[in-house]
Amino acid sequence: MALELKPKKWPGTIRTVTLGGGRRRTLAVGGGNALPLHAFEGSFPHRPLLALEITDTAPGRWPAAATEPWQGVLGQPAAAARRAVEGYGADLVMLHLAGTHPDRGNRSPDDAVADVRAVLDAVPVPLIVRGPGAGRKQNDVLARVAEACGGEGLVLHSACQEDYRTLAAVAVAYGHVLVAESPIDMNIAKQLNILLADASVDLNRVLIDPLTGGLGYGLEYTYSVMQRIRLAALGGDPMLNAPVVCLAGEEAWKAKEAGVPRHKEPLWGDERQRGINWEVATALPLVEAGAEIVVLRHPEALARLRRQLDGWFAETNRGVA
Amino acid sequence: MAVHRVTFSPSGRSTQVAGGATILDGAEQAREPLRAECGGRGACGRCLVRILEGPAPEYRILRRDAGFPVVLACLTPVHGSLTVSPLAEVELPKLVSRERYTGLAPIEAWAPWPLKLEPIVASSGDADLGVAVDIGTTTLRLLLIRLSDGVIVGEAGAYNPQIPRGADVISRIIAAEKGLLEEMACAVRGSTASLIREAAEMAAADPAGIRGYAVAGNVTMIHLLLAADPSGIRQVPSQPQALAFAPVNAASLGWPGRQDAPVYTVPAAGGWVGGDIVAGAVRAGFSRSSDAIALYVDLGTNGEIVLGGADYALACACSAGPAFEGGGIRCGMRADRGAVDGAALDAEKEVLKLSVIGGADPRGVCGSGLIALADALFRAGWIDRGGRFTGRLPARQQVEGRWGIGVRLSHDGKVALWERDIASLIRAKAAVFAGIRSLLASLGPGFPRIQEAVVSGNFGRFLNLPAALGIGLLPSMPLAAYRYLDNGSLEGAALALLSREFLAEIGAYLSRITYVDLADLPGYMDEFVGASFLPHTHPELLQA
Repeated sequence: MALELKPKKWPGTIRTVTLGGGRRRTLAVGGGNALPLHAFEGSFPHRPLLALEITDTAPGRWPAAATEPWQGVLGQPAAAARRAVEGYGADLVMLHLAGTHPDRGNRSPDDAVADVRAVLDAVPVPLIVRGPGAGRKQNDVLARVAEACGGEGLVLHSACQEDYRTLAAVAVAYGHVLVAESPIDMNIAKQLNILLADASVDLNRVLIDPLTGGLGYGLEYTYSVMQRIRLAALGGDPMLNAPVVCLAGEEAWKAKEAGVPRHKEPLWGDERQRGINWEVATALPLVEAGAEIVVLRHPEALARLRRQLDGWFAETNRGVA
Repeated sequence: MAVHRVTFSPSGRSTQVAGGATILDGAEQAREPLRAECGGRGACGRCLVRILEGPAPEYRILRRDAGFPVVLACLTPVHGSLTVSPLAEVELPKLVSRERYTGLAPIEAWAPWPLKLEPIVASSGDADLGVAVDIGTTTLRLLLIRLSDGVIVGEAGAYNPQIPRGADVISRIIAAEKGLLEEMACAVRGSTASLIREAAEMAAADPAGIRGYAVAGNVTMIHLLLAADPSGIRQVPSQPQALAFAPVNAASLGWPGRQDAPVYTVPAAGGWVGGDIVAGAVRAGFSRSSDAIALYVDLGTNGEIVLGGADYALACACSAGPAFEGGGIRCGMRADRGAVDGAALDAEKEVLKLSVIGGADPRGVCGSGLIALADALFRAGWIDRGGRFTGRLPARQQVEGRWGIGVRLSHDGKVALWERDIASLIRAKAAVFAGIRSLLASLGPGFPRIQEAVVSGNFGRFLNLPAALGIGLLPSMPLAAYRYLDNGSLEGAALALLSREFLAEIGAYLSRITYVDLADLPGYMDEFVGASFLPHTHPELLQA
């Protein structure tokens, strides 16, 4: 007897958000109308995007295995971006302005603008700009960048519930996409989106960052919150159906297990492969939970995820045909 | 170990403490009544003292007052002999006495079903009296009742004299653990005794004619009255010494009356749902309500909730914090003269109209005023759904200070409502709403509908129900489905005193109540975060 599938039809659809614009290449994310990878139940017009993270100054805390692919371009965002896109095949780039943090160099908003401009000139892909994440400085830096790069369709990472007004205003004024970050909590994710909508932000220009816990550090927590967000979104909640971005690389490489050198833990094996494995093992479940953009650090992790996505979507296409 | 002398001025009380102990430890040893409403955690800022003589650790000095360092007694270690003087006066304000009950006959006025006058103590003549007492964490209230006809002849109220030892029950339990149990027991017994004399004087009656007492209070208050160790209450799971105590002799508490006058205490449902709630729920008629699902909410520092019908009910307590009683709010105060207790906002004209108890310029905001203000500010768009001020707050209504931005309430701007006050209220209302939702979910699948609700609490003249519904504190229902009970605990205690049947009913109803600890419900935290928004993250839940 043939297996008869009874596909579930959902009332909701994930919003389609377009990144980039103007003279810049555009990329769209979202648009799915079924649970992640359930291609037998719905359609996914856009594949998940894989981004690579670059930094404005040489990162102080990345393990050696994570910095190795970036030798020669560390702290040179334009060159690093070119390598990420042309050399490593990233769909897009996330520039982390870590050096603007008051405790990590305290570079000025103007320095940040110069870095962002250099990256925009170097690569044609959309750009995620991650601020230093420190209250007022976050707003100062990202607002200046947003203003100086109006029309580039940047993705500003990120606004949070405690402090969203400045970034909401500049995102609207200069046509950027805003990432709404919540602390692994579905209610707060929704509250922030409602607050953004009340502040006149078009929710078609918003991405959710549910905050990622790395493998061994809360990944399953993030996974289940993403699942609940996605179930609510597909159930028709217009305040939770934004596409999701996850900073998988950052969280994976924070783990002790990803970075400890072999001579300290001989039984754990080669740290380079271990770190990459850790990153892939963090990122893959996030894609399965519905992440539309995954930001990675190591190009080999990106290549492996790319192969996996290619496989999945080849099957999806067969299924659809 | 070094030992230092700590002397309090102007009282002259003095004690010796080990080096490194705090000034507050010294105050407790010396029986100096220093206010520490947070229980000595450095949170309430009430235990400020001036160091007149002796070494003051530089890092603890908040400011200088006439050249003397000012420090928090609870956080400041003693490293040498000290003379200190408390900054705050400890005298509690006198409760505005309201003669509202005198002349009333509880059996006629309050009985939820026809009750017969049949006092739980024998009485023989007009001189025989009974007393109903409500011991609240914040206030004490009592009624003096003539047993022959069941008419209230006198009443009195005061703030709970234990307040300097902690504003909430947890702080009081901690104080008891530190050795202040006897002191707190004496304080509440003494204060109640003087209230009895006050009420008797008002009634021109002789307190020697008192034949018995019925007392309702939360579990901690009853423990502290009977000097029973309350430390088990705050443990998990909550382990009070007892939920029901045998009657004690009034004389053993130092209360006036016949030689063998008994003191009955209303039994409790659980460590955090006391006899005050049970008495109130039975007074509200819950033990005999038909098939309807009824909701009883007592809004105080702990929001206590009873939900169910006559056959089966669930009860829980949620930690709402002191916001509903004006605590933890920068300009918070109890529902007393000078308190803002209502607000209306004309958004177009940008005019905020306040109602103040006793008229005049406001001195502070009480719980009902806080709820009304939050609702008005939210409706006008002056605060956003997260409770933060928006750009629509007019500049002339705005004050700025060390707490950030606030909305001006008094002309001089000294009374103002700050963002963090609104945040406290949102946490309080979220705790209550999440508690109600969690109990509903525990009652069975499909969230049964609540048909009627009774709200009780220390809200002064009234609770602004539309505002309470507007901010999502209580479930949306037609206003007619709500009843407000001013003091369910006191009224229940009076009925228990006057009717054996009522007291028996309380016992029978208790056996049908299941006590739920919200900490055991995995969904509670989720409900709480969802409710921490105006009016709610999922507003459709409010449209019951």
